[in-house]
Amino acid sequence: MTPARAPNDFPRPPILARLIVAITTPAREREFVLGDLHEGYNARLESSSPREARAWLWSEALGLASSRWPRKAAADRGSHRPREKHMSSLWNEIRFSLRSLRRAPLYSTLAILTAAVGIGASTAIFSVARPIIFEAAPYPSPEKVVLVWEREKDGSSSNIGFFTFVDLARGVTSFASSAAVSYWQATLASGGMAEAVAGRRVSAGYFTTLGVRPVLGRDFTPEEDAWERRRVIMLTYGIWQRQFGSDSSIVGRMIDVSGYQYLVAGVLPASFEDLIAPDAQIYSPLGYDAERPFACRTCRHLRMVARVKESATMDAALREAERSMSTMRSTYPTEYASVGASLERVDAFATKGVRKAVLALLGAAGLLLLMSCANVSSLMLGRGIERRTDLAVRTALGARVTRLVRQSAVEAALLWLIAAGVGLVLATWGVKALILLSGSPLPRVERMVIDVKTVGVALGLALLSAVLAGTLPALISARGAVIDRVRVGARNIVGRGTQRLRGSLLVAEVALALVMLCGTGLLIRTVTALLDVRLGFDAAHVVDVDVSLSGPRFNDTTVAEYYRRALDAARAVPGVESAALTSQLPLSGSFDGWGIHRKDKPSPNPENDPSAQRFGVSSDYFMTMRIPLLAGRLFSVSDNATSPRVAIVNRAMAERVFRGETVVGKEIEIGGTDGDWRTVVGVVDDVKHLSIDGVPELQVYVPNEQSLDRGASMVVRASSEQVALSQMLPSAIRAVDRGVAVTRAKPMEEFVAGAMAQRRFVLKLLAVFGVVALVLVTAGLYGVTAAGVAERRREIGLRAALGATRRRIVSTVLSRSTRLVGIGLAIGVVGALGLNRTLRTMLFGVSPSDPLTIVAAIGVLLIVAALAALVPARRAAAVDPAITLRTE
Amino acid sequence: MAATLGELEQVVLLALLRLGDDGFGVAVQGEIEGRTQRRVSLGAVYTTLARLEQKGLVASRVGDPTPQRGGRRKKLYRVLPKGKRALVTSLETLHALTQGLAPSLQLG
Repeated sequence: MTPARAPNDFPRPPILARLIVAITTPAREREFVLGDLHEGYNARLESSSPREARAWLWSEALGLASSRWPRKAAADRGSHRPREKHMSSLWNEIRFSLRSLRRAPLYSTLAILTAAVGIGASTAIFSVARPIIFEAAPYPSPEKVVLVWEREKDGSSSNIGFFTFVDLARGVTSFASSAAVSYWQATLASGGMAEAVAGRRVSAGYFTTLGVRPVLGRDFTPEEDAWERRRVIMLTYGIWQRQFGSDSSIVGRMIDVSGYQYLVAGVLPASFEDLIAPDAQIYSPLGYDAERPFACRTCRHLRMVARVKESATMDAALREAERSMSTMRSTYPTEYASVGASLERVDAFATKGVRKAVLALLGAAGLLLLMSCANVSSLMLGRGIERRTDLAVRTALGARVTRLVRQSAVEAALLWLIAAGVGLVLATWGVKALILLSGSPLPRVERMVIDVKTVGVALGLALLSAVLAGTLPALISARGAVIDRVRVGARNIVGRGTQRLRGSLLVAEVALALVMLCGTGLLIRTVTALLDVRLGFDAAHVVDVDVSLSGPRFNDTTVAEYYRRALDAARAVPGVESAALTSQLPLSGSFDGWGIHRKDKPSPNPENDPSAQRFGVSSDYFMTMRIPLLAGRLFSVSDNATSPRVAIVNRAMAERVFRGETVVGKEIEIGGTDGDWRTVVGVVDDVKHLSIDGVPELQVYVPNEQSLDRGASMVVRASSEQVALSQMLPSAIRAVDRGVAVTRAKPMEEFVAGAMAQRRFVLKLLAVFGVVALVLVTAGLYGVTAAGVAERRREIGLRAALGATRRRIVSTVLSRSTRLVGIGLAIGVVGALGLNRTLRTMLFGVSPSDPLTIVAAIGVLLIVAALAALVPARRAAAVDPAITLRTE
Repeated sequence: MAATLGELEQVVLLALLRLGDDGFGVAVQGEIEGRTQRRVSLGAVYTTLARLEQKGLVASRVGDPTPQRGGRRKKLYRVLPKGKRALVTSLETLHALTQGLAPSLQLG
């Protein structure tokens, strides 16, 4: 005998299908039907594929939802319960509503699904938006934690130098504590292979400032924040679990980091989120002092974070910071070009990149929910018409109107609550899909979950929608019931109020759909425009592999030697056309800003000189990336550490800094002002480095051997598409030196796509919403036209009998729908012009009121509307006059 | 007079007879599909079973829960004598009408 298996050994069928069946099946059969579905599903899982099992389940579920169960057997019905006596209790009303929903399975399924789409979309978007828009940073008194920047002339914020940090930390008494943060790329040995790990060098007060304490071990001490004593490390919970197997004895031990021995001081809690450095996995003290050349006022590579005292206000802190900065500016006039300080809340800083996109999506989800409200309202009205006789009989038998209204209200509430359940299931998938779709890492993604709060929001939205969508239909059907009391079974004439209301709902739906379609259209145009932008380099067939070298054995000689060997190894891989190195890759998000000083035009304050992105590149870089040369020459292998110092500038620099003078042959200094002049030997085209949509930035290139970094991006061009470098390239480079951390190969096109990720994300979602909106409009329009036809059946028959042509009848029937759609479109255009302005910052190469987009959106809506209305209209024209007249 | 049977009712009754004591929704569907390659939806099976029960041709009882059903019980159906009679009548009718038609129907 096989061992007994517990119920949870058998996978449960998809919950949505189960829900649909549970809702549409009579209570007395539900258990058996669900059991059968479960059993059949599992049998197919074992005998064939999961895909077939799911297909079977869904086809059965949908079949069951639409099948008509016979009424209870006569024998069961015999015992008459004194129903009327209990009817006043809410419980009975709920049961009655459930029964009436079940009796019209098509209506209930349609209404519940429509409502669920609205609730599901808004709940999913809310879950994603919550940590970005609605939640403060996960620190104690989060509103007091700020980033401190230097404020530039143009209002932008920038990093600060070490001694600016020291003076601000000392000078601003409103700060309870503060810390400086610097990027740190470290290498951990794992399984005999070096692995690059993102980390941060931080002042000793960093974790106190954020308000977090290690779960294991201790925080850094102020004594450890010194150059010679800083080989101490703090682990995040994640890397402690992954790399050190959650071994708590690791604290106090020495580990190898970048070739040096570091003492593990502690482990941070699992709940800790670093909003300033989301990628950081390890921390070590900064330990700067005046001896370090990179600790100065103009070496602006540090971020400063501070906690404002509970007793102090943000304004007071800002005033003090401004005062400190102005003292510094007058003491060191040649070291500052900034005009003041600025403070930014840490949560605002962490989410600013996607805030606008998420707000736009929240808006779109709101529109979709409104549309689904309108649609459900319309469905309820339609159902109210069908149930008129029923209601009329009940009023005639003495049911009071208030009771009927309450009954309708309970039914609406119930419908929306069931929809909230289904919607939550949709939202769970939706959130996962959203995170996948986002294309680029969303900030605070681990907080994007469906939890009690989300469920609360879904229920809240459901009840709000029930009130919004249910009140009018309830009132109208009750009124209709009273009027019709004496005309039970009278002709099927629909009250004017109902028709008008359904018409207004349709107008609203068309308007909302147009707004949504216009938004989608604008983003389509934006992404197309971005695809047309000249990048200044050719990303096709180029892959990137990052290398980072660290540890005592690397000095300028060995680093240069390693780079030469790594390039040779890459070129030896079959299918490689060329390979080169760069210190920063275009569109990778990192750049190095350096002041550019001209020998022929020195300025009194060199800090006011323009700043350019500086790249250290190997000689083949321009060829590999296909960056066009405009004047002079490119670098060659003879531009090395011992040859004369040279530079290449881009077109923007030639135009804006040299203003049309001959650039080749000019001498410039990059960064400091210590007489280290370089001769410009060439001019190349502008490269989109920070973003695709920005204006060209100033750029300067130097031979990498004249300015060596301990890490670089290697770009490799394959000779054709067929060459797959992603496997062979990293292993070939790893083979050169096992102690160098080598990343995986990433196609250059990924970086280009990444630069458009946010817009693509919004576009994809708006497109999905747009399609749903079209479906809702189609359903709404179909319903309204069909109802109109049903109402005028007699009239149409009469007209046909009197000789009206089919064409004429179709156009009579269509005229009302056409008018409603027309009004909806007019309102929608106004709405789109107003609402789509909120998208302005996301748009590129297209204005928010772009006429072409609006016309296209109207066109799409008109086509869909024509299809939705034509079907019932043609059916009307097919009415046989004889039959209609005979029924009179 | 015995009730007349619809085609699907005949099929379901025959499947129930084949299944003996173990006739319930998904098993009936499986039996029909397995023997005839004919696809019948569960919804159709249930509504037919319910109709047969209303007509007094089958009787149902509630069975035991099993793990592969997610711990749910089954509703087991059994053919009543009246059901058997109806089936016999209906098959006899078919048989009587088929006689002599074998060549033209190309029956094997």
